[in-house]
Amino acid sequence: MKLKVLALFVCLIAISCSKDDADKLDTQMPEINILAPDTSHYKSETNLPVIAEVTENDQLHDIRVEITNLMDSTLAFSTHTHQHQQSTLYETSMWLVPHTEAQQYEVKIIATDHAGNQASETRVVTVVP
Amino acid sequence: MKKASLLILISILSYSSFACDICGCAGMTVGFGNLSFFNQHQVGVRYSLRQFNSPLGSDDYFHQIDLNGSYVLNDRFILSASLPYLSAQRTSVEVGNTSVAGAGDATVKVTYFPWRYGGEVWSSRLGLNFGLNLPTGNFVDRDGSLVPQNFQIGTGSLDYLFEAEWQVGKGNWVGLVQGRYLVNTLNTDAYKFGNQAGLQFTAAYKIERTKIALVPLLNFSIEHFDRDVNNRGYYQFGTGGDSFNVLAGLQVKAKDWLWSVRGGTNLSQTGDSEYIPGVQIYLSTSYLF
Repeated sequence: MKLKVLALFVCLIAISCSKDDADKLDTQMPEINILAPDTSHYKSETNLPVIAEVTENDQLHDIRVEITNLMDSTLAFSTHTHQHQQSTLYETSMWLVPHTEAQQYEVKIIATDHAGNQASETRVVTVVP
Repeated sequence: MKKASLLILISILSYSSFACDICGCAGMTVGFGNLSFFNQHQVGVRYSLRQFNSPLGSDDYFHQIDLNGSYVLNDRFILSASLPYLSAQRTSVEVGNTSVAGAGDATVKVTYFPWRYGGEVWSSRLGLNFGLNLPTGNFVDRDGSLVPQNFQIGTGSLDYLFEAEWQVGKGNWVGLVQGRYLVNTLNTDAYKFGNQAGLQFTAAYKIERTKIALVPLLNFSIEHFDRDVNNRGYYQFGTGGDSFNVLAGLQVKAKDWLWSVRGGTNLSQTGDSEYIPGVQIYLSTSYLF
């Protein structure tokens, strides 16, 4: 009797420790739709708006924005937000410093979900003096 | 007399509650449920403090008071019930303060003793428990929130509890092995807490004085938590894992009263939870009749 009971519990624990069900694992990346920058040219000494719709089939974990000056490959702006929503309208902006000649900036938006799936979208803009 | 004394000692040790769902941010040390005397009815109250810390800057504190009682039907069956009241606070650098309070999930349980032996040299018994965790505590859907889904006072689901315990006593020593499996079901918000399995080992020694009996004890437990499944059918982040825990305590019995104090902590933990259990403290008192 004692052995039967112990065997039953060993079986229950073994079942409990079984591998993850594949259909319960989130393997889909978030989707990013960049709404701004919405034009290809911006004037220096103005705000460069960054707006994106980010949607996810399960739960988002974080959204990062990186803006790089492509002329000298320097990271001009970086920010991130932590959130667990399924969809969000993310907004931020960067002040465009004065330039004497036109510069190209790459706006990159990176979204990661809770399972570690990551997606990114980029948009290149020209900043004129 | 020696046999009866041993039986009482075994009964004093009988407890069964492991980790709970609602504060299961991470593996935690064993709690202890009803002090189910073998052949005595009992009513009691129990206080527990459990704490969890995150390196990301949040601290959770769960205060719980349980009213519990057991009714002995006969030599083979005991009915028991427990009603908790919880108050939990969470401080987070990112979110601020969050608190929940209210009646938790009530538990009803029947214990069956299919086998028992009591001799002059040693004694032993096998106990089987079947219980129901009733959805009397409130569950708030925290989907989309930075507050974890398991920061709750109730699961919102009807859950099934299976336990087995085998106790052996010789002289003033007692050894106890307990196994537990909790089957959680889908709640009304389509959230399912993960099933749990646990195994614990307890060693205790009885020290008799004129009017009281002291029982220091040491307990080790291993626990496995299946991952929760959220209402979209995906595993919930930060849930599931395994833990190894230690607990030490002292029980004091004087006439019809039983007092207990225990403390423990988590020795190791695996899983994707970022929460680390802190020290856990349990105090209880029971009246036996």
